[in-house]
Amino acid sequence: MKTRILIIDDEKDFSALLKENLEEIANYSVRQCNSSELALTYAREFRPHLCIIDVVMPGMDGGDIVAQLRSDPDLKEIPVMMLTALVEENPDTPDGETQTGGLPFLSKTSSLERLLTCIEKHLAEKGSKPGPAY
Amino acid sequence: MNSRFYRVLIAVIGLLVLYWLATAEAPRSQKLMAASVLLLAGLGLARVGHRLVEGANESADLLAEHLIDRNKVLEAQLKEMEHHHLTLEHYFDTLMAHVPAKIYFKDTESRFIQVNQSMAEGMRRSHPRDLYGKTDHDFFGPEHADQAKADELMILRTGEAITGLVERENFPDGKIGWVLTTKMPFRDKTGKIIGTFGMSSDISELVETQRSLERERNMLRSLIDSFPDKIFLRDSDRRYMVANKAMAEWVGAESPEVMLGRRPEEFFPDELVAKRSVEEDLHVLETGEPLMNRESRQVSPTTGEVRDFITTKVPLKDADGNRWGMVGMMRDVTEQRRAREKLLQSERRMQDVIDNSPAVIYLKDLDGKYLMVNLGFETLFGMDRASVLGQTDHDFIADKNAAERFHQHDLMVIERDEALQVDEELIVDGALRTYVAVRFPIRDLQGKVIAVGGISTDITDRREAEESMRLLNDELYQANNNLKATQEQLIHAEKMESVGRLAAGVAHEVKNPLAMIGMGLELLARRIPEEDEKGKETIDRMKRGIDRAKKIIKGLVDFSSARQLLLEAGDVNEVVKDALALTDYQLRKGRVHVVLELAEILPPVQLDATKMEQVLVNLMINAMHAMPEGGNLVIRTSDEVISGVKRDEGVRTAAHLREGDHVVRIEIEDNGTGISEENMKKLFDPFFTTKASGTGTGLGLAVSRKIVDLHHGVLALENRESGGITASITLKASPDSISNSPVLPEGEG
Repeated sequence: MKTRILIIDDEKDFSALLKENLEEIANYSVRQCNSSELALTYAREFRPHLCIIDVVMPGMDGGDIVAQLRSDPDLKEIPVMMLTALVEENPDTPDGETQTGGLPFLSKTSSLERLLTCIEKHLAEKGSKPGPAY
Repeated sequence: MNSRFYRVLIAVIGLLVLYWLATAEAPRSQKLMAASVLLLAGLGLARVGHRLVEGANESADLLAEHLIDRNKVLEAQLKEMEHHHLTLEHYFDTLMAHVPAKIYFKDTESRFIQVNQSMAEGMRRSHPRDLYGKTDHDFFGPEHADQAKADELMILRTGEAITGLVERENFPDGKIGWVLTTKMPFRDKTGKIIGTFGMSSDISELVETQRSLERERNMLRSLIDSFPDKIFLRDSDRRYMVANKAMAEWVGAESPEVMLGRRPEEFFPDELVAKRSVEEDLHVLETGEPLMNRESRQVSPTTGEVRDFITTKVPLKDADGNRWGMVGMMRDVTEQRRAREKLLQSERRMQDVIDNSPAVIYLKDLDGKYLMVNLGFETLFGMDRASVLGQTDHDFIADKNAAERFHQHDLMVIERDEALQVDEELIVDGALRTYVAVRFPIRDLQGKVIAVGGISTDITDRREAEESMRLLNDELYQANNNLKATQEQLIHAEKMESVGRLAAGVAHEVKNPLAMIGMGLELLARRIPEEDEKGKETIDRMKRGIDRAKKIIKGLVDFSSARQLLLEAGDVNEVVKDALALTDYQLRKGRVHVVLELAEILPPVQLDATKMEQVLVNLMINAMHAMPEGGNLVIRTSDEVISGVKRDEGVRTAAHLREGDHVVRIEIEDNGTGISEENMKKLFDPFFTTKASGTGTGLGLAVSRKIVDLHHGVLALENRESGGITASITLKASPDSISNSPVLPEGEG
């Protein structure tokens, strides 16, 4: 069974490219959600092992989505990674990640390599407990 | 013929003799001789007659005896008559010889027929007979002579005497005088006018005396009439004996004469005035005490006008000391009184004015004695004017030096004869007060300086106010400058803030497509066959482009997000060393020789070491870029206490650092190309760069300055005289208490 990654980002082109790269290199099953309002529905349906969430989006922003996930008993264990243009790569960490408010933030312009490193790290931390898939 | 006949005969002869004596123009001796002859002849005739009668009437012996007796009687009588005649003649002669009055007899032709001795002498003749037969025309000028002749003709014609005639006479001796003349008709026994006779006395002296008295009287009269004062003389019955014109005019009498013999009550309708006049008069008359200069106010009896007088009444005494009246004088002093009142009023007004002046005003004589002071003066010295007048400054001013200065100022005014304005100081209640004093000469009507006046105004408060005003003004000026600096800073900060926000926005918006391109390249890179070198190279170039763009974005974000520092007390030398470690490789590669001149001991500085490191790295890299062919980089640290920061030295300096601050300074000197004046101004603007495109982001110095600003320090770049640039960072040395709290920029602090 493939690891499921859900990308929540209003940038369709970016999430499509990211999806293809991840699926090609890491053999993940990746789904993209380009509307923050539908994020919860996608998560319930797709039962991802990890969510990659943009911060700045029209309607609900990334923070709101994380709050919704955390308030849902079935989804609250899903690890999330904030991938945003708001932050720069942290020079003090090997993978350039910044921890803020209990969430990992990664710069959107980080290399694919760094991104994969972080994904693997967070999947390992959480023991990857995907929710039931329909 | 009886005895009566003889008596009559003898009497007739006697009279004839007398008549002849009186009238004949002959010398007296002749006359007497002739009279005797005539008398004897008469007697002879009578005897002859008698004898003729006797002879004829011998028979009448008894009668004869009787006649003889009678004759004896007659003879006795004749003798007696003769004696009487002689007596009369003596009288007449005595009279004529000695009477000083001139006596003359003239015939109808105005010829002198008899004059006395005095007359003869008056005519400068030795003997009366020298005049007989002559007329006035022989002795006097026609004026007098004609008048005399006319008078005499008048008397001869009318028979009326001219008596008491006073005539001016030119005497033959040349003198002019006055005579009192009586001229009368000279009648014979029958009453027939046979001439004139007269008598004149020289009354020149009398007339002169009288005239002189008259003149004197007139003079006195004119004098008292010319007096504007009302002068009067009243007797003991208080009736006017004398009043002058002014008096008459005052009471409305037609003339002074009208008042004579009348009492004042008749002229003064005001009962009170009359009553007082009576009382005063009686007092003067009864006691003999004069009334001197009594002031009174009277209503004019004629015009009703009120006038002021001073009256004097003095008793008059006769030789025995009895008071018989009084002389009085009323002087109208209305004008003087009004003038005096006006003057007093004017003085009073002046006093009020100067008393109500806040200034200290005074007048001194040439000896420095006070003549006048105002209320301000009294208040200042705590003395009333009565005790100040007549005193000098030295008498009551405790500060002897001040008193002497004032005196010297007075002397200068007197000497120069002009006003002097001078600042004067005086200790009042223990505090030094400053006055601006105007001292000026006071001159009499001839322009001679007779006193010194002064007006002193206390300007202590004004001076203090001026001083504090000046200080305030300075402060205001400084505040204004600070405000200006702050404003410039705010504007700059605002500008930077806007740039920062813009940059952050741009960064976010640009990063998304950049990320997209990055993802796309990753995808494409895997699609390019192993042998397609060109394709791979293209992908690499595109990735480098993305890296460059990412750098710029990072700089922008740094600039816009550099708002918070983590301050800790740190050693600037350590920060310099860390920064140098980061750049060491690059510098060596750029053939830059680093010279470290670090102070041995530096006071700790509150700083964010990472951020400050970033600044230092930035400055070092800039220095290296300024020396493309390599060069010397001197890095120097020092500390000092700021002194003499000029107000206009620069906004940054003035804003953060002040005189007396202990500061640590880091200087980075290169010997590169330096910076043009034009570029110097834009040095800290974001995106300004002189480096080749792709070498720098144009944000380095902007970010660096922002970081130093957050440290409340100063970052400055200036050209060195020997070429190249000195970049300096000045930071305030840490005070004893160490604050770790993040510092938000809060403007000037």
